Amino acid sequence: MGVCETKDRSDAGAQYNIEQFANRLAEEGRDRAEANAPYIYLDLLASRESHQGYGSELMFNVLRRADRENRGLVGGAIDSASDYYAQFGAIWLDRYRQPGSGGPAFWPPSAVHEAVRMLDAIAEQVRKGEITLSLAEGPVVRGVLRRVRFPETLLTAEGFSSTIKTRHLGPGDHPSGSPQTVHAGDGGGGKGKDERTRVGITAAHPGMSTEQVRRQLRHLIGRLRGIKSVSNVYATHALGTYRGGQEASYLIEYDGNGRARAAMAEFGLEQNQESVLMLEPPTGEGDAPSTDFSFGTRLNVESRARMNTLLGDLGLGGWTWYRQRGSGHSLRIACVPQYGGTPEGHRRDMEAVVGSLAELGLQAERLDTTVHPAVLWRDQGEGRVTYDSVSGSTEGV
Amino acid sequence: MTRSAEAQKAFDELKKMVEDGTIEGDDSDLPELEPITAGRTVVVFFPGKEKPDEG
Repeated sequence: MGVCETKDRSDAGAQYNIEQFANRLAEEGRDRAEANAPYIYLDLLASRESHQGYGSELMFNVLRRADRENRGLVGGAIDSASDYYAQFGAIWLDRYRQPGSGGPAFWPPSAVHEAVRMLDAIAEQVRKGEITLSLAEGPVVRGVLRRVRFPETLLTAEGFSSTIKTRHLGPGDHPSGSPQTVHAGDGGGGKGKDERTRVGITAAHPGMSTEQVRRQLRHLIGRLRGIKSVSNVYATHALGTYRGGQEASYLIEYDGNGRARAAMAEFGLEQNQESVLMLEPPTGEGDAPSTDFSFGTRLNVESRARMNTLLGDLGLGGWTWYRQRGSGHSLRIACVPQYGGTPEGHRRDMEAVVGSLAELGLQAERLDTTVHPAVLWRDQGEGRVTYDSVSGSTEGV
Repeated sequence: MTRSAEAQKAFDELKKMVEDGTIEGDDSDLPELEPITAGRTVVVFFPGKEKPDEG
């Protein structure tokens, strides 16, 4: 029985097998049973000069995927990259090889989970404003990364080195102890499109049972995964607030192109959705702001309900509550011009939210990002892109 | 800032909850999202009318 889900199970002259994995896990004081877990095969390559490359770029997303699916990772690390991978827990399959010498390396599911937790801890520091990163502050970034002993390439690969500025909204200085001014953001990103951070948002879909949601999700995910040009399909249940109510909903994310858009149109048509909104990476034209408020704590249902009332009273049409792994609750509000939103209005609304939070004494941190909203409609209208106009092109792809 | 009566009531109750430290609670009904998602397209479905029952 093989341990890798890839057709190519050999690398650097080594054939991977369960016995090797189990023996090395035992030598590392880990559970031998983890050798029987499914493993994802990777090329763990990174260039010596930049510490960026195929392997390092893949690593973050694949780590998260493996963690979600309780899988391990395995692959051959070239020598110049092996120190990099050792920093987040690689185990060398060949016990006589060590970081610095390269060779086959692997992470059992427990090590994957530990690596993701480490990444999340750093992300949390960034989010809390304990680390403020900006491309314009390269030396600061490097200094921070040296201090936390974290591989810079991972942060770069995931976009953490984009301009990420947070603003402390509560009274007084930031909980980290740094002064308010350190956390003042520019409210709109405003950097090159490749430097921006994209955000996710949930869907509102009323009148559906959990099982209906799951059935639809399985159907759509299967369709997306059948499209060759679409990758990293991710879906989860969600809670969206739309037109004043909180409803069963779902979130779908993917890396893809127009084929995926056609699949979304077909799905929207089948499900009789009024519209489908896609928040795509910014293009420089038709982009719009999106804002997250992170509260650093878990808010109970009663307090969120009151927040919903306040947000609705401010005139906001929709928003999403979510939580981050190992962290508190966040609120996400995107500006969608197709639904009547304007960047100016969004900024005014966000300032109103800021004002209300400050008045409440409720501490939160603000993250402003830029997205490219694209909307597909069921019904025709001026300037609308309808389902019919883009559907029907996923057959046979 | 002018609020509706309902919003003012919600505001007052929420402020008291903040002051009393009773805003924290369970999050089992909330989705878990990546804190930052880079380079991805995110899809949101907005509800339309329910499909009529077949048959």
